[in-house]
Amino acid sequence: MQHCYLIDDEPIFNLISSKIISRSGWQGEVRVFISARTALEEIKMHIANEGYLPDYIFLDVRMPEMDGFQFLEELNNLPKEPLKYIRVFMLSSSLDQKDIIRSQHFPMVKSFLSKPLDIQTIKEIFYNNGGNQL
Amino acid sequence: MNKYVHTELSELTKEQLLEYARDLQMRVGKFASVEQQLINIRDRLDAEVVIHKQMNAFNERAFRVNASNAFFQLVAESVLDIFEFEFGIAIQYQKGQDESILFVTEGISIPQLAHHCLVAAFEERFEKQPESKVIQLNKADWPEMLSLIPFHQFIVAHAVNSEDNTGIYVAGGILEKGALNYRSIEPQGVNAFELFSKQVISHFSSHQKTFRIEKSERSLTALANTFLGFGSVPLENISNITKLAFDMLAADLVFYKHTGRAEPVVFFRSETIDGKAFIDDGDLALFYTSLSFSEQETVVSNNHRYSRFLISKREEQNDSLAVSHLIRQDGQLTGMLGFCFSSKVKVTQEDLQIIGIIGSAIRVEEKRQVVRNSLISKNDELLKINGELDNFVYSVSHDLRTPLLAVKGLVNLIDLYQGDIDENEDFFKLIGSSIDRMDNTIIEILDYSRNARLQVRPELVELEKIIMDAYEDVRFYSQHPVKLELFFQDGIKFESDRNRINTVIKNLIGNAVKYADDSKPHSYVKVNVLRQQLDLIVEISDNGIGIEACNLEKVFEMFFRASEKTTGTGLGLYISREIMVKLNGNIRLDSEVGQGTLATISLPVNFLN
Repeated sequence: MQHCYLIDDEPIFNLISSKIISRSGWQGEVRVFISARTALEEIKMHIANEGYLPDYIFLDVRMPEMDGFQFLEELNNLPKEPLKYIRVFMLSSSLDQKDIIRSQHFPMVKSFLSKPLDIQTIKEIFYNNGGNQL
Repeated sequence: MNKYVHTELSELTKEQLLEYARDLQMRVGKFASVEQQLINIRDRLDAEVVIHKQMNAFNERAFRVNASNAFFQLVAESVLDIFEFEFGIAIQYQKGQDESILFVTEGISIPQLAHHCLVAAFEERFEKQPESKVIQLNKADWPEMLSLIPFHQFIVAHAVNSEDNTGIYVAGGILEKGALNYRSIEPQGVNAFELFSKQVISHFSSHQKTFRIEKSERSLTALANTFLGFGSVPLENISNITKLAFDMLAADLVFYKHTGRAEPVVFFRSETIDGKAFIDDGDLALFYTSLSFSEQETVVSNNHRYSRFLISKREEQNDSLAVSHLIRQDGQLTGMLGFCFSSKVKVTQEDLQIIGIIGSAIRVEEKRQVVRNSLISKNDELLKINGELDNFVYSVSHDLRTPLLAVKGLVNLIDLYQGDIDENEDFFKLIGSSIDRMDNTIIEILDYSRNARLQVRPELVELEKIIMDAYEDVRFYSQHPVKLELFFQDGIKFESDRNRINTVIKNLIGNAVKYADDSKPHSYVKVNVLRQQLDLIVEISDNGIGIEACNLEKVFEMFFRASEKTTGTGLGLYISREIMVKLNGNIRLDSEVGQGTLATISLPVNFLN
């Protein structure tokens, strides 16, 4: 079974994203985090067990304590091999050019998306092998 | 014409000889009359020639050439020309050192060594001679000289300028050289030489004076130009000059004792260089003592309002010092500009005036630097504000867009979940709270802008009511009930800025409610209002989640959010502190994670009882 992490400090966006995902008909497991650090701990915990690692991460950029980029840096410091199937999608409420360019430095980031997530985007990512726009 | 020139006289006939003799006679007669005419003309012109030559010798151009060599060469040449001497000498000397120039013409040159011997002989013999005295010497009078120059007759004039210890010898004579020695110097010649010498000497003194003044004026003008040309001189140059001068001074306060320069030495000390606020009287006294002045000779004030000069002399060298005190508009001494003049130079009023101008110029420059520095710091401040503004715009647009995008997403969901009434009801509620949140953000931005923009307006503040209203407004921020406990000291009545106080109280009580600890059965916010002398004290404490020590300062930063628990704007405490700054009050936080937070406001207010 596939896994999807939603990481956003605003619960309302996690709610919107998970509702959209469930309406898309995708059958995987969705896990919600309001803290990037908690999500990171989760990944570290499962690093030896690929089956539990997320296939998709929808990641907010601006978050208190640990923001999206800090999270990506931390991921980069982990062993590469087990994480090679993770595809990260950045979600931002402001399409800041600096943020977009910065996210391109991380190979696992597949796309930089504007909030809120919509059904077409989700379908493209999950079914049409989309998300390789970067 | 002379047909017999190439013929032996013995071959000529008697008639031819007579003819030749008559021819010669006629020609000698002709030469004689020409010679006589020339002599007449010379005699007639003599006076004019002398005067003319003198004028030429000492015209301004001669002095302007600036090399004293040219002057002495002219004198020496004039001695030859005017008096028909066979050699002419002009020597300038300075006590203790010879700076003599000597010229001998008519094919005789005196070697270097002989030259020094001559100077030494002059000095030894004539040192005590009175000013402008002409001495006529015969060869028996001065055997040393004879060994150097074989002269038949020798006259010398000598003058001393007591002002700066310089002197001049003018000498000339007739050489003792067999056939050349066909005449002696007559008494009229000696008198003429005396007159001439006096003229040379007076020219020499005034020339010296002029030259010295010109020289010091030139150097001072150059300095003044450097300082005055602010429009064109880069600021760095000025500060470099002043820094250099200061370094010289700092390295050794008595540096100029050892310089012994003829040029003025400039030194300068200023507040901008050593970071010291100003120069106090102690500094000044130390400074003067270190220069070991015998006494303060003169105090000159001039047109430059804030300059005054102390001309002092040091015993050992008689050097003099002109100091311009750089005094600011408020009367504070900020620096000193000093020029040292060696003993060879007498400081004139003009020199002082120029120093005064330079002093004024430096003060102007200092002022400019101060203005420039304040502009720079203002600019830095503006850059910072600009950066903050950038951040502000970004954050505000983010914070305004976030609830709006949530609404957009929820509207999409309502579309996707058509017919699912339960879900839709939830979505509508969430749309409502997103809109509230957006509204709150806008209100906080308005609070911020009002505080920045509006004047402080004291009016009666009903603090108790403000606290109650604030609590009513915010109590539903939390699902978890939070109880208000209010302790209001009796009889407190005061005036202050009601709107600003309202904003602060609302923010602080709002935080206490928003960050309540759900795990505790009895959450509360306690508000304690009391008077402490002239200050109003408001303590707002809670038993909420608390703030980590490392974030206690950060929470006052713009858009800083310490917690993921709620969706604050990150503006509340920032605005609260800004308001307290505006009201001259103070706000502080004490907190312990898991225990709770205490916010304390102390505010000077206008108590009405």
